[in-house]
Amino acid sequence: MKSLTIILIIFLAMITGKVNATNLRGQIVRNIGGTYQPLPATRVDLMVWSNNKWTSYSYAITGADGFYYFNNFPPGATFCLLVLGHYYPPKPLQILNIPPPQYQDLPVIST
Amino acid sequence: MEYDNLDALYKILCLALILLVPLAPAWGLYKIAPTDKFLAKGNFSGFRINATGSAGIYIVLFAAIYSQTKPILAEIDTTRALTTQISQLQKKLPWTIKYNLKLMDTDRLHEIDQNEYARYVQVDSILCVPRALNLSSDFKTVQFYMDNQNVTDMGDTLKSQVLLNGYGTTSLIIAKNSTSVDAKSRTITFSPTIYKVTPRASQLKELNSHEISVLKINAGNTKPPVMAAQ
Repeated sequence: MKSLTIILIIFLAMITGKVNATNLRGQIVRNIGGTYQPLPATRVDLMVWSNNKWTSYSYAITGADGFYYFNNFPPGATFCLLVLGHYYPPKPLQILNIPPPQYQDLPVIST
Repeated sequence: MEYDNLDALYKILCLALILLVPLAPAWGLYKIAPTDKFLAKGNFSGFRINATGSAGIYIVLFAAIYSQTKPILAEIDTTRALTTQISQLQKKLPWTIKYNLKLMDTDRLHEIDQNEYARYVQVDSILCVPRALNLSSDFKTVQFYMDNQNVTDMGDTLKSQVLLNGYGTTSLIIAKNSTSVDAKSRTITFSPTIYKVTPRASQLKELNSHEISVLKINAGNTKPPVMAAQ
């Protein structure tokens, strides 16, 4: 289990301006013997559709419980998730306008 | 340091001195001994001079001062060229990015204890691009440098993120014209209040009891979804 860390990343992404922010929450699991178990320490990329292409907008790392969180992201963007080389869901989602502390819950992903 | 362009004023001042300074002794001679004979005769800058009295004094002094102002004016131009170079170089200096972290506790109302910061913010574990260079003694401020080109390429809005175990990935956005961006000291300060995240505790149970569905891995999802061009 990773020791507690802080990762600072600067991305060269354009933002459209100050808008309401949404917190996204999701979980990655794996099927072990017919039972789903959380998958920790796994990178989840938030892929955003922008300028007619998919771009890795941000990433998060799952905790011990398999959950990952993207906080304070602007609503309206079309996105999908990239986990271990696979894209989810088949039809992309949109970041909704859900004010914190509520979360926009994302579909559970099984690797 | 900023250099104000007062070169034009300096040059005007020099020219004024050339014209006005010789007036004082010329006027003095005119007042004291108006009939004294003083002759100035010769060539000056292509002009043939033949003057007497206080006018002669004025022309002699004017010529003497004029010969000294040329180097001064040249020095002003050289200094301006150097200060312009310095200004250009200063605009390319890297920026200091500073994070003043405020981590909130589970109740979302209170900040975590001071001694808790060291648990979450550890200098040996800081990974970033570029690498963090400085962590304050209270583990609440993280500081590193970023190239001027990277800041320029970000456009009007600066976006960065903090990823903290127990707090998720938090997006931080500020406009370049906000007070958090100090172009003079080339420092950008983020002061995020970051909240602990809360999982859906029952989700795994719901999943294993088939109350909710799951997206499964398959051979077909190795490429991103196909989108219509906009």
